Amino acid sequence: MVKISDCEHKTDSELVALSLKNQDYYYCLMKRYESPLINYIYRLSGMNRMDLEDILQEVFILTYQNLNEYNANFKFSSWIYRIAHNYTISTMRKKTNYNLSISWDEYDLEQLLQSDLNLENNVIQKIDYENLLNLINNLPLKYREVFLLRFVEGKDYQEISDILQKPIGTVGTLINRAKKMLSQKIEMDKQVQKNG
Amino acid sequence: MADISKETLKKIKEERIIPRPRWYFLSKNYFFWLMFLLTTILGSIASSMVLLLTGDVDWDIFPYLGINLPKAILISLPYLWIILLFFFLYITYYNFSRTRTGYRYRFILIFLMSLLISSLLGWGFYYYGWSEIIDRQLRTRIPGYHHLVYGRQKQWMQPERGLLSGTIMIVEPDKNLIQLKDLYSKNWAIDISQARIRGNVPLSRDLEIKILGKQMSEHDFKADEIRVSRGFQQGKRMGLKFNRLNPE
Repeated sequence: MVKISDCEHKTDSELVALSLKNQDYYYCLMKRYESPLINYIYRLSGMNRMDLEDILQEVFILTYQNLNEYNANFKFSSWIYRIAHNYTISTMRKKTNYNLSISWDEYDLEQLLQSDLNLENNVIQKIDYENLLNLINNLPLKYREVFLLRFVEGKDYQEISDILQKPIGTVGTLINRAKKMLSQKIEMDKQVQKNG
Repeated sequence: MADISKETLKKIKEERIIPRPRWYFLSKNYFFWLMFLLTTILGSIASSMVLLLTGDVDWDIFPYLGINLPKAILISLPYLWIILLFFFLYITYYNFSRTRTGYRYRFILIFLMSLLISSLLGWGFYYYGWSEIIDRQLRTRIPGYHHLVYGRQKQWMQPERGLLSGTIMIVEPDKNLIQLKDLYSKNWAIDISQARIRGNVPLSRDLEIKILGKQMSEHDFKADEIRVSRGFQQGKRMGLKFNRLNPE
């Protein structure tokens, strides 16, 4: 069995090459992405722990089966996120009887606030964070996915383009629309609170 | 929380899961490139047919038939080939977007590039007479094809309105007559005594011509003007083809 310490200084591409020769090295790759991917799948789908673990295991197996497809000119993280994203979306489509109720942790909030979301500060300060997160959860999927990747996962446009398999220009447009839609929802939420 | 990575590795080993071979992914990628190439060529053929059928129409004939320009355009647009062109352009886009990095390019960019390539190649097909050959093959091999496109055949096969087209079978200069087989293989005797011949080409056997005139009876037609068909002119442009089509 390969130890994690044996892999610490190896790049993702090196680990992919080693995994193709020795399955045990694949453990290092999985361990490296286990936590980020399970968080991403959760934020995207809001599924329960058991489903999340099932999805993640399937994602790792799919990734292993397709290791020879990986092109070292691309970021491995984008590639494995793409597989995770596609598999999660397809699972979400198959499961019709679940409600999207995602609770965000403090880390998410920090990420969100440190990101270049650029919503007017006074707007954010005027509403409580729980409301903000509810509003994000209620964004349509195509906006929520770019929103999560950009402002929570901290991915750049090229990475998002590679994960979602969309042109960079389209990613930019979706991010702008998502921001605009969120601002509108915040404004509407403020109005409702004022009137209520 | 369970060690998912450890459990997954165990499952991979127990179920003897192995990575798919590299050639599988390479051939998948090459397949989409091949399909991209194929649909680009099909799009080029469609675009060359649009050029052929649009260029094939004699626009100066419409006023003669009492048809105004907007109606003439509506009648003569090769809808079938325009639809096929856009269909192939979309399939080309689909195939390109399925290649390894195809998703990075916007639909409109791929679509316009495909249109440009198809138009350039299509112009090449048209210039070298290949679209003419395809058109002939389709007209002879596919029943009902000529009903789907306007083109020369439909435009010039209206003897009752003074338009006739076909191939010269016999020239009888002493009688001022030519025997013509029209595009539907019907035989006609054409009176050319008062006909003006457009173009500097002597009338000869196997020459495809278009005639403006008047139908005199079931098999008789009086010509006012004779035009040499495009097929001949195109052959003239391509020396070899000219000799092959007109051995005389």
